[in-house]
Amino acid sequence: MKNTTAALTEAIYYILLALQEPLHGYGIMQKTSAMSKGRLILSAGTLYGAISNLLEKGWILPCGESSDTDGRRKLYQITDKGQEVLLAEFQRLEELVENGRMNIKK
Amino acid sequence: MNTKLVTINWFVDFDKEEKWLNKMAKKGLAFRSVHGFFYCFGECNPGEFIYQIDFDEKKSKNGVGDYVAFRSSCGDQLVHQHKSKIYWRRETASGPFEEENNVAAKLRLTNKAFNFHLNSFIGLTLIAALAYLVLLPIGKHLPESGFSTWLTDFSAGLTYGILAAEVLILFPILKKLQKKVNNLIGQIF
Repeated sequence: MKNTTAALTEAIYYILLALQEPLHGYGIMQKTSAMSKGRLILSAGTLYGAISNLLEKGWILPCGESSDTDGRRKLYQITDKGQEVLLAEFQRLEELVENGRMNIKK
Repeated sequence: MNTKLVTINWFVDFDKEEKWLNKMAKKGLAFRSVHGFFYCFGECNPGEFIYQIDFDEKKSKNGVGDYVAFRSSCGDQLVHQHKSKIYWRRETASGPFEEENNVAAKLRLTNKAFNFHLNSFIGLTLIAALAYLVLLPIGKHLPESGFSTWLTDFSAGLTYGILAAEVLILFPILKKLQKKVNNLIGQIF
């Protein structure tokens, strides 16, 4: 059974991409900004709601804490279920790009 | 940071309040706290900080933890909190809190502001109902005395005062926020 048929939002797609390795909230914000070359700014407020939803859906899970100079922060990582959703979205986006490439008159 | 200025102001619209705080920061006045109508500011370099007004969220049960602690761990500085209303600050050099065109984020904030004012509306309505349905009859049934007159006048004054505040202030702001929510939803779909 598929986890979802709806398209992911850009923010959720990037959060799942960022969590290919364990990261805390601030790390997700920085990595997302770097991947999108500063185009997508994820605020901490938005991220809180997104992480909460992703945990509820079982697409990510907490995986310990990082201890750095700024204090202890919870780490998160993508689950197998989340990876499946991400891959399905990647394939959907590929199809969109491919169809665009073939059909858009330049 | 010493308090440099205490000024009197009052806002119902959190958008206007946020804009005013950011305008003050551009002038070199960093917001520190608010107590009723009194806003306290300290000194800062002009434009050093930007401010955002936000509202607390219920602690998530699924492992993400406390909202304030989460935002603080992401680099946002909590300046002041009054009940569920939170004043955040960050250095301007760190970039904006949200992208200007992030409609979903605006919707989230506006929705929280709407719920904040709706809770105030419900709370005040309950107080008015208590005053009108309980205190006022008690005042009328008590043997005539200074206290019974005071209780009657007080309950009637409280009820009408609250109703006037709801009609003149809270109801228009709720209507405005509802319209803004609908506009933002329209931009998403």
